[in-house]
Amino acid sequence: MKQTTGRAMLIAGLFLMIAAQPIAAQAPILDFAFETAPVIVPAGGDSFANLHVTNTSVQEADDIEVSLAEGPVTLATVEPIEVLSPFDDVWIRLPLSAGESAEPGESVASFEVLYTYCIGDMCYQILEEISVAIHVAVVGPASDDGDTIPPADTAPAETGVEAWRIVLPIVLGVLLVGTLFASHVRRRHWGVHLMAFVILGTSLGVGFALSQDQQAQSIGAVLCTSCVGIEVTPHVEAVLSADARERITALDEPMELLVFSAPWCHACPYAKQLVAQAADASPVLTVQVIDVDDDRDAADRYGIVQSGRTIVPAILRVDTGEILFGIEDLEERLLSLLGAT
Amino acid sequence: MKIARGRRLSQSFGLLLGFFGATGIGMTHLIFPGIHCYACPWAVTICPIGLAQNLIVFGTVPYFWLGMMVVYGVVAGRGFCGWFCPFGTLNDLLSFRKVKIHRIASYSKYVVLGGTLLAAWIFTDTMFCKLCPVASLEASIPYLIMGVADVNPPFVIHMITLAITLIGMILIARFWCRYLCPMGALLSLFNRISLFRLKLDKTKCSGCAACSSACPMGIEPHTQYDNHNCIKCGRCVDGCHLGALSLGFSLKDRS
Repeated sequence: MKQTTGRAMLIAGLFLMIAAQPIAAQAPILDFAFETAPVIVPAGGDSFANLHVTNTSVQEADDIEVSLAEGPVTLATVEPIEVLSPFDDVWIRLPLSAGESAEPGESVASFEVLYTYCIGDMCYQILEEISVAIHVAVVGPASDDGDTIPPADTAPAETGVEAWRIVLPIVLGVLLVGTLFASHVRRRHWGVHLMAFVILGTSLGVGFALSQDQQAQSIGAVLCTSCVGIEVTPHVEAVLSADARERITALDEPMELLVFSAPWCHACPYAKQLVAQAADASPVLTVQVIDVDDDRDAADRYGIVQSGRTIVPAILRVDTGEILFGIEDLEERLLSLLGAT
Repeated sequence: MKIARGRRLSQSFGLLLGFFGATGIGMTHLIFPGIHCYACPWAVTICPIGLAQNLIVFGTVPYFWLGMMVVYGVVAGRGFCGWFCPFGTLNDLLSFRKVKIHRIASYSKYVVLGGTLLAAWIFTDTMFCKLCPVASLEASIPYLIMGVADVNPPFVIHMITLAITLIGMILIARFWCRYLCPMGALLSLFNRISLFRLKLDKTKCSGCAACSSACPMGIEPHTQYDNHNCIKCGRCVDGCHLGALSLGFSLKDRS
């Protein structure tokens, strides 16, 4: 009897979950956060506001458009984000400018973000309003050359390490050692559990406040081929052979290469060095390096993502869409990619 | 038998979470409560050992990582090895010879854990990942099939470590979990305070050691029920005909 009631409740629960889906589905699925606030915009000048957009659901968000609703500044056209994958995030750079007659001081700018997402055949259009404090600054005489615009995303210079950054790890470490030691003397004493809960509460609280969960996600979402031992980590400088240099110099068809890398990837410098030498050898070859930690969206757009993982280092030939992963026999594969064999 | 069924279900859930990326979902913010390669094409969770090495390389004080490890430790300790970890499940499937554990050798997993963290600091690189048999199985082989990897020296090293581990697992039940797993070492620190635990009713225990012969980790559960090698799999509970051992969540130490 008990089993039948349990099963009936389980089935009823499942039905409720399914029925609740369309209602829940109309809820927003994106989180927004500005990198800095207030955003400083010089009167009569330009600046940027960096908006961090995170998809918090298992659905894909499409056609994310940002426009200015109200504020002391104007917003230049921003390229819409076509697709934001589930649980993925992206930075959107909002180019702002203030007129020369803009009143100096702090006020609030409101932005409208329009996007869609679908569950099965049902699609929903979501319009969200977000705001950020804008500080219109008076530009001093040094701005005459037009080059002294303070960038919005520049963090104030570090003046030293705050005391808590040293004290907290020491306190947590001592507490942890104390807890583990105490558990050998008095296992499962309430005091031991209390200490464990203090450690986990503090660690998680500070970890989330410092966005370490996002850092962890970024590390997991990028596959550095040499880091996990899929290929050798090169400890030598990349040198393009004279023969390869000659063949690349002979190229006459203009082409563009994108090199995808991450600052912590040990094989990436090798790939970047080799491609830079190739670009140096040929005037028709242009190269752009993309840091996937900063611009995950570009990796998504160009197909550097395989099975949900951004693979670095990767070299893309833009016109053909051909991609080279890793650095194994890179010179030979690069020549083939460029058609210089 | 009830425990065995529950454990199979729980291990299946561990496998499902481990390889949930097959559904197309990308990497989440969740740290896996076992050893599971985040470079695996289907991983949606982060390997705690891989992350710890990366954070050392970055010079980050790992608050989020530490908090999650204490959560997992307090909830189940090494219970995750017995009930959830996909590589633990593979160890389980190859558990043919339940020989007695070598007590001193079982401390080698702490050497592996310490060496992993120290090597990350000295070489500023994820050195353990280059040898990890879990990465061999879950990353090297899939990426070779996908055409991203090649048969090169790192691949061969991965295959050697995988082969050694597999042979060890066949010759000694739960070989990896007993002697080498750094995540097992980490979780074992919390075995004495974990809420999920093995309980012993001393009034019912006759000391027949039937539990010892059932234990895949080769310990004596009736005397070592909170031992750092206990993975709380419950084989001993099923093996005890007197009902002296039980598994469950409990705040107090009533053994």
